Amino acid sequence: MTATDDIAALIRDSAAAYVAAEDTVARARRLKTGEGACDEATFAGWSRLGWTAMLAPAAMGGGLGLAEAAALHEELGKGLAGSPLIHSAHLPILAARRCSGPAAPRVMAAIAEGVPCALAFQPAGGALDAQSGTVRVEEAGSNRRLHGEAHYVPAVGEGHLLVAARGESGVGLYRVDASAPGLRRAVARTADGQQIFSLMFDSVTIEAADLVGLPGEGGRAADVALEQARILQAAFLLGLMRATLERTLDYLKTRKQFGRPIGAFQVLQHRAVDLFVQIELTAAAVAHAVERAGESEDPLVLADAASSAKVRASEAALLVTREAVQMHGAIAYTQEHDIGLFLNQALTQAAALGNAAAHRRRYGLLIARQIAA
Amino acid sequence: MSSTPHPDYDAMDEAVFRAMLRDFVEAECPAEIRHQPRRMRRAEVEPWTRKLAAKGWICPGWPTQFGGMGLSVGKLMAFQEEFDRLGVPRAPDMGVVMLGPLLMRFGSDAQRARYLPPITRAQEVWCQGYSEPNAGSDLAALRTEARDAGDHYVVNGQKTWTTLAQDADFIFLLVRTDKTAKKQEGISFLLVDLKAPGITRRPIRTLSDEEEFCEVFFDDVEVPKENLVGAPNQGWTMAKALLGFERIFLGSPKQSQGALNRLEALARGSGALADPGFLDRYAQLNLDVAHLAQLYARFADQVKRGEPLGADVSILKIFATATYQRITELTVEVAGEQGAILGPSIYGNESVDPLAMFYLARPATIYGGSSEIQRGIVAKAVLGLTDG
Repeated sequence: MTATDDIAALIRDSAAAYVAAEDTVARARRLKTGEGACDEATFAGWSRLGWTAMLAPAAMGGGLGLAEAAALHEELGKGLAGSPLIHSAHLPILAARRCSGPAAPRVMAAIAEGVPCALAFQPAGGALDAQSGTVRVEEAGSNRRLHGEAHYVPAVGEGHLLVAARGESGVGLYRVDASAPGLRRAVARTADGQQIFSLMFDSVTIEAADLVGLPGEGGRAADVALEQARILQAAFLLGLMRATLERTLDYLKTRKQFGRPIGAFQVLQHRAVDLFVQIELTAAAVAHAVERAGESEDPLVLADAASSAKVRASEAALLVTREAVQMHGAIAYTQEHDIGLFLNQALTQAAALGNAAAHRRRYGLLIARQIAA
Repeated sequence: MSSTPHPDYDAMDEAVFRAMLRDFVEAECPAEIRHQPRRMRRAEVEPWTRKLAAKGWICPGWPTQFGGMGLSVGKLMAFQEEFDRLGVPRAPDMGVVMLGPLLMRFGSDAQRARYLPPITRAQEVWCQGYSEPNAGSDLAALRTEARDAGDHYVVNGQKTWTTLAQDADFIFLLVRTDKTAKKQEGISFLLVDLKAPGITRRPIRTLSDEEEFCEVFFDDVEVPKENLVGAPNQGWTMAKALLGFERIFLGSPKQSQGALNRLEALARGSGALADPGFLDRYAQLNLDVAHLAQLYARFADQVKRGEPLGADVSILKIFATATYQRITELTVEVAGEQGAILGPSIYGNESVDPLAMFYLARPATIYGGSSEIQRGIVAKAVLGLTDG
């Protein structure tokens, strides 16, 4: 056992205890049926457990790496807890810690204390990297102003935004209050009930103190953070599908039709095995991606590792949750039954930050370029 | 048996060990027989196996006292990986992989002294007589019978799918010796000389137009009692006890990697990589092979740590063989009309034979425990789904 393994094991234990104590699946149900806002009390709880800060520098209460974070998210995924932790804490911290602007420490400290923060970078229709955004930054005397749109931005309540914006010398990262003047929002809800925003920047003023990532530096930092966050999503989906299969196997062993448990029918046995195969492939792919991406800042290595894990995890999680619904039969089609919550969260995380098709396309282009070289 | 004493291969640094294997293969194994998309016949590989035998490398996993290289499991896997990577052809190896270990564990001193040394010298080749026309997946239903006739047995019946029986000198058989017992409990293990009167071998031509298997008929074949291994009616138990870490090799990514390499050559030469529809499926197959290799590495680490494999190792074979088949299917598809033409075609400056690849991949989901049998094992032993 290495130190990382030891720490990861401790984190798994505390995450499993958290999932049980907080009944996080019930919370996922309230999210689906209720208001759908990012729950600030939940976020504060993660802060107290040290989870929001874990990927920050050690001096800020972090010092842990991708392996420990992946272990945490796999466990939380089993209880449908924690996807906002990826998007509104780990992703922005992974970006900010690679930035040298004056606001970078402030952004990380706020996240560590439990204030959510979202990265705003995607154009309409989605894109995989921070270079493709349409938000522009214009110099206006000593201040700067933001113009343009960013989409698929998670809710941050009263927290702040990390906006990727292109200026003359590249893409930088800027801290913006969620309530800043000139910022308009349109809200939609994802399959699992969370709010997600389109943001319109109409000459939003940012001061020198709000600079997180310098032009060029900020875009590169966001891209590294995005790749690592995708691997954490894959870990979350891995936990989600493990729990889904476990619940489905319990059902196959107890539900009786034609005088015997339906799990005695060979057609269901073989299909259950195919789900197990995909789950174990995902586990191997996630472990491999964590190993490669945890040690590298090379964009090609990161893209390869992230797309590889995200394709497998997204496809597998959707397969496992769809099949779980089918194997549970009509009861699974009701809101009352929990298995649908697993499907909803699988749909949401499979799509966010690039779905399987988008990542397969990018992976294919990487291979084609390698072959041509 | 006296031969040049080996160095202690197992104590060698792994990198040095691998380099030694590589150097030898590059120097001694002719290019014409490497990376072949088909199972080679005995005569084709014999010049190479004689060189291996002279080095004492025919039986890498056997203890040195029996003429093996004395490799531990980790080193044995390194040996296999290097040979696979270098495209070394598989010599007829049933004696090495199956019979040798069984005799070491259950055979008599006389049987070990008679049969093991010629295997290590690649002089005597064995084939495996298990499957029968009505005993495939349900192997324990086998009916080939050995009747006790005092000082010998009289064998009658038929074996089938006997790989390269036409090239072998001996066959090891599972035979029924007690028709009254439960089906697994009336089976014995016999060693039979294929030159014995009453044995007929008939090669079976496969879909890929090769004669890879035989039917073997036994008509009042007399087999001395001393050729019984272990006690009577213990054959099933002995054969099962031997299913160890070797099961991992059935799920190795090597076939898929080899096929993907040919598909890449075809895609490069035909310009298919510029087609987004093709590239999407090609990317998925690359991911399938990469993840298979990563999952394989996890089981391989388990073996190298000396831990026994569980029933879950079957998922490797299920996915490895399905992936291998899908690669060959896309190869045929992207070849278009050429995908139904027998023989290799040239793409760019590389030779690809889509149809041969396709045929060769067909039996992978059938032999060594079909995919359906493997799924049944995992469903019961791993997922706890019973037929109750």
